[in-house]
Amino acid sequence: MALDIFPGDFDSKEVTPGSQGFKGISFSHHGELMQGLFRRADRTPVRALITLPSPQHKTEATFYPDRSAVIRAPQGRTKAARAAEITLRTLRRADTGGRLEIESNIEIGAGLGSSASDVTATILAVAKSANIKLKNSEIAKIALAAESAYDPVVYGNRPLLWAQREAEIVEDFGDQLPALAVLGFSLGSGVDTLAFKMPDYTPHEQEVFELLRSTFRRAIKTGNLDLIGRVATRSAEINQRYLEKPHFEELKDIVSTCGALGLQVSHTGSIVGMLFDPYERFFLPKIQEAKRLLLTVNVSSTWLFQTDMTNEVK
Amino acid sequence: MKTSPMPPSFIVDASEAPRFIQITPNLCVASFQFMKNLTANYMVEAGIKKGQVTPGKTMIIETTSGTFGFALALTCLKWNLPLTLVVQPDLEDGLKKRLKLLGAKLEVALPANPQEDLQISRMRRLKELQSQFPDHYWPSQYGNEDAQHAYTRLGTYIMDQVGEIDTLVGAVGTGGSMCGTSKALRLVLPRLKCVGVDATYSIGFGQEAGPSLLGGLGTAIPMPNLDHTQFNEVHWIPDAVGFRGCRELATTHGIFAGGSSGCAYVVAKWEGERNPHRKTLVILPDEDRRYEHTIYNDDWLKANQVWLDTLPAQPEIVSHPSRSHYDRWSMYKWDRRTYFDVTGKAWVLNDQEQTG
Repeated sequence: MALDIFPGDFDSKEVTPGSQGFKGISFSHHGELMQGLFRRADRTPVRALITLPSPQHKTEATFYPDRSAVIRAPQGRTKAARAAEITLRTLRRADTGGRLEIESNIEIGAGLGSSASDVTATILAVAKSANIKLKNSEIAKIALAAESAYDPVVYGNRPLLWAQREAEIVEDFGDQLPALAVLGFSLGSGVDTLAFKMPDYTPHEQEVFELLRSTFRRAIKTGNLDLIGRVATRSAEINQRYLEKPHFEELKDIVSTCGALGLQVSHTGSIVGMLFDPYERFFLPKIQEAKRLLLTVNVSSTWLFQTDMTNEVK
Repeated sequence: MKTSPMPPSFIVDASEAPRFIQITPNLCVASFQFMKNLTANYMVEAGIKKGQVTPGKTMIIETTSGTFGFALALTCLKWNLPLTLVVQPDLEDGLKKRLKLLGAKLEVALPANPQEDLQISRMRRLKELQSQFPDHYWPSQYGNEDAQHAYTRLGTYIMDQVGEIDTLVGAVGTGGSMCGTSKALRLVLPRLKCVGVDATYSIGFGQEAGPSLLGGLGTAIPMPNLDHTQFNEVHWIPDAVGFRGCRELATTHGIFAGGSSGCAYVVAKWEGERNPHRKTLVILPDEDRRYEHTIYNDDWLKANQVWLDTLPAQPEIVSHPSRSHYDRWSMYKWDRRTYFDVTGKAWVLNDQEQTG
């Protein structure tokens, strides 16, 4: 199927064989700000999400091309290997093969987009080896062919309503997400994203998703972080009906006690994040208070990052 | 999830959203042509999504005194659904003709005896029809939660076109629009203040039932969709004040609206003036040519003794609903309590509604 993703012409330059490696780097995400069922402009329904970008989590892929026509990838990175194959076929380099190395700090299966990052970094590395610059939309299409659902990590912190199973931008909210600080942690175990039964949202929930979408649009336009926090919390609440996070009510109490903006989750994983404004006066005391309160629900291991810290993926 | 093929757009889709007009620096009106279009459009769509209604097949049965029936007729046109409406004998002639043109079957419910309330006779006829057509769908706007959920869409339109608001003002009849809108907006604006506008002689917030010329707000029977805990403040508007409000809305802003809109405007204007730093939005449920002979006719107003030269400057703030007035505008700080907490009485549903 992937052969004809882009029927257009790519330069047919020779791949330089040898020991030189080509690098691709992709940051990942920290679950979603919102995930649900939405209406397209033509009123057809579409499942879509807004990811929360995380520059702290990343994958670096290195591709060493050769003329073997076979991809050799590390154990367990079959999606990345497939992405490399599809990229080469797409770029009409089917006779090229090579060795793929992957370095990643992303926990697998937690809902942190480990495979999306692996796949994205791989595509970037392979394309670089062929001396071709792919558009983001082209990378997303190849990635989708490799893993059948793709989180839009390649778009960095551009806020998008993204159809993960179609690799389609349902709505582009603007240039970039305002800076958010995220106090993240993991609760229990995640699920296989593709095996996860897709929620059968009620008609009312579908209307609430449209309300949250309009609210998010407003929030980006006016830079209102409170609204972003509430959208995330409401989406997480709806998700409780479909994939329950433990201690959810306690977590919401902690959010309001410590004055966080809201609660964000990985809708198919185990990741939770508390959202804060990193540039407000009481930022650090709030984080301290949140960490202290999280101990009451047995969360002692947390991480803190800012969504705006570097977005130079390529 | 059921994905039904989307039909082409219909008037009921195009007219479900209000027009937003910023009539003063801090007061915006959401002016509907026919607010019930939004209710009907959503309720039938939700019925289809839940598998309770099959497009082109399921008979829709509803009892109505008028506007909701018209909105249902437009919605049934969109989905090609047969519609039976139980109406009362005095249904306005023009509306009757329009409903028939839209293909609705009208069942005129006759009272069992001259004393019987028309709402009760309509409900009895509805029950008979329900047993006659087992495969039907009854939207039931008084009792069905979907009638509130429809107004999540109004919340979406508000966030889209107006943005964050501080105060929501609107008339209360079935409770669907105000409770639904306020619940939706509070998902993202938790500090929203919600102000309910009732008619005098309505039992909605604790007055005694009695005659009223204002249509579209107030109720003589308990409404399951009226959730009292949504309201921070409530107002009771007598007929004459409401009609004066309609008049002022027309002469100063060119909006020729119905009685419930006039009442809501009176309250919203006062609310906006005394809170200049709060963004206030008021829902105006309908406007129509049919009010020409009543609300916008001096002779009719004077003949019915509901003529008023000017609007009162403010309501009288009362300490309990039992002290509210029937001949003057009064206001009470409801403070989001239940009906029982305020009045000491249960918000009992009468049998006819409860069994639905």
